[in-house]
Amino acid sequence: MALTFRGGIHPEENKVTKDSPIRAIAARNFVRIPLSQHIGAPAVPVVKVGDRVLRGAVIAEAAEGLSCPIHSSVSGKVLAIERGTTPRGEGVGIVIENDHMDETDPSLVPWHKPIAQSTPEELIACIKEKGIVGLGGATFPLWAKLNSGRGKAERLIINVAECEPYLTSNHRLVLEKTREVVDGVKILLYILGAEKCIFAVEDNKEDAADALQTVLQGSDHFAVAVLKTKYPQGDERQLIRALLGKEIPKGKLPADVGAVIINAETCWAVYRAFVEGMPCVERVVTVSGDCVRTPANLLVPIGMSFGEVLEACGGLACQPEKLISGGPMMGTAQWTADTPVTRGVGGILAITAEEKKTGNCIHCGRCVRACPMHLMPLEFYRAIQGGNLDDAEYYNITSCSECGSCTFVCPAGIPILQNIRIGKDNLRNRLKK
Amino acid sequence: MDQFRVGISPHVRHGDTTRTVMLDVCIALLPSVIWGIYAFGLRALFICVISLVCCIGFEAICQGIMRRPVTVSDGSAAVSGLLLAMNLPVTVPLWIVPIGAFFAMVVVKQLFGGLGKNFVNPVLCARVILFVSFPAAMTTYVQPFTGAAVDGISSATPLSAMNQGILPQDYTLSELLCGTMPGCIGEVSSLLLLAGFLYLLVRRVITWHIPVAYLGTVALITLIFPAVGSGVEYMTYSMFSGGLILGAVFMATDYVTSPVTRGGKLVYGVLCGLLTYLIRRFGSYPEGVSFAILMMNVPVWYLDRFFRPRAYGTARFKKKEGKA
Repeated sequence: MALTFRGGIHPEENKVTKDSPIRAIAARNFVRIPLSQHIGAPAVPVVKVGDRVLRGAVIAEAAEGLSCPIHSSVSGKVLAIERGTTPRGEGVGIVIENDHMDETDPSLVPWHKPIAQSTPEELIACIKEKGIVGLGGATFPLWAKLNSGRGKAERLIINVAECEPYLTSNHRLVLEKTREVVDGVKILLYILGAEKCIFAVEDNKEDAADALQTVLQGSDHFAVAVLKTKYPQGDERQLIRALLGKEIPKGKLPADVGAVIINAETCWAVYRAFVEGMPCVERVVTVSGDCVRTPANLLVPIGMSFGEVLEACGGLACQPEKLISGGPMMGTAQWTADTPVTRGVGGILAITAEEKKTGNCIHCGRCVRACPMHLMPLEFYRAIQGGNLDDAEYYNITSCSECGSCTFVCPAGIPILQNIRIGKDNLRNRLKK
Repeated sequence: MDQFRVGISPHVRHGDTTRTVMLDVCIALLPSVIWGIYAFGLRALFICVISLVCCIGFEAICQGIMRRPVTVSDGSAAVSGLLLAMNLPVTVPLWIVPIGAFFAMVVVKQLFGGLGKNFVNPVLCARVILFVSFPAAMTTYVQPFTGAAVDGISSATPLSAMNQGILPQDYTLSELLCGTMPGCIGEVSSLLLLAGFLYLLVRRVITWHIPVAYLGTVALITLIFPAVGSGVEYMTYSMFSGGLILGAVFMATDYVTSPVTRGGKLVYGVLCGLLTYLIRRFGSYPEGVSFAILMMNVPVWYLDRFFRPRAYGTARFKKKEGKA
């Protein structure tokens, strides 16, 4: 029986792109590269308007503390440094006019010595330089995760669960670049000094699991775990529960239970950083949804607009109601197709979302059964509608991981998650006072 | 193509709505209703129709007067209508039906805020009000297939016999299961009610906890402490006559007035069973299901609060985090 956790939901998978190979697309005339593509402080620009930059060159340095440098995805001239939309809202970005010469920065060379002869500190410094962040969508700077996980991690877990409907970028990547992903994982294992590595794959991607098994043959350090296809299986808390039978205590990190979880594409980025010398200037994006003419998995240069990426898929077949960055369960709805692709965008979905009419809560308890954190979402809704923050706290509102399962199943169409977010905000504000 | 709707995640929803849930309950009730009409004649159908029309009508009128959105299309009033009819004997005077519907839909449901806001089950409350107001009309039962005219020969139900300390040996187990005995329109056929239970389970409308805890408790306690006859006999008659199965499967599991937590459901079911036994055994009424469930409706919120599941990543026995 496949491993799993208690709670969760099984939405329509809609993985229509699972058989379409990753296709690289070229940037158009302009790219707009936001300075904040990671959790932490935005990067600080090191180029001026009018400068010529090369592909892969640093255009913004990491700020103090938690931050990450940003690189150009094209060669060309810096046109502007200005505010604009980003998938998460708004922020400063560097607009570069593509000269279509595709000139790569000559200083980008493969790592200069064998990995085994390098110190973990050197390797982490290189990872920071290459701007690698968690590409599963959380965009936490990888260097910081590795620093906090070193010495604590007994197990490295590679997340190939990809539990969001529609998305297939991880699936295709592991299937097509199995060896490269595994080589990246080996570098990470060396850095962390972890004993064991588990690849966590949902059972709707048996072919990816088989590909991994073939490449990993005969190695005791590696295991491939097949998980039940269920949302949110890819959330690190549910992943740890399914794989290790443990829970991460509230407010702690996976490292506190001896595990570091890294997304499969992040491992590929590590491979490219060391073997090709390439920083994180492109990523695999699943373009899908019922309004996309030919859904596909694309390797997209960072900074291309959503609209341009959609055009590379034959454009839109119908007017979508929602344009989403990421998956349909946790992704962010965009108001404009000018939004640029950033390191955190694993999917672009154009869908005709049907909205349910909101009625009264009928106390059916489906949200309670669906909640992977074992909470009572209906009580949050009741408490927050009544302005009773103490009650929301009693029912552990701060444990909510905002996966949206409760809202997905609610037959009364109540925006439970929206209420939970309001409640969490109100609680934070109350604590400040 | 620059006009997109923004909104908070999730951006997809499950297809089930309040209406599909209510429709499923109706489907689950239908076999028993049809059996009731077949067994008790066209008058039973007539009562069903009046009850449906009255429940839906009262809800719509009441919402209209209170200037609330009219929500009868969600199907909850239809479920109440069916259930109310199922809880009436076929001989009941027709004018009693609207009174029951009025209490259920207006007094118990709408005056407390409508769907999801009432704290007791509207149909059960209406049944109890009718029962104490019109005791004779509400307890005149007839044998099935004897032509259910108003002046039909009234018969004692197995329960009323047992309440008087007599073991009703005129009914075989198969008769009890099929429902060829006197009783309310929708409560006689245990087999068809259990088929409805199965349907609700398969469709995941309800979970097994409440009915199993409820029926299990009654079965166990009547087996151990029979009032008359042997334990097995007393248990058999207690389980398969009267409104126990209808109550345990369709009334005690009413979403609005039953717990959502697993622990809460089990305790609620067990206490319903216990109260049913105590009322039937020691009370002056032969039937205890309605009273038992109504009483257990009251502490539902406290049961859920007490049986709040342990949240992921928190300690099992750590009480009151923060200020509760």
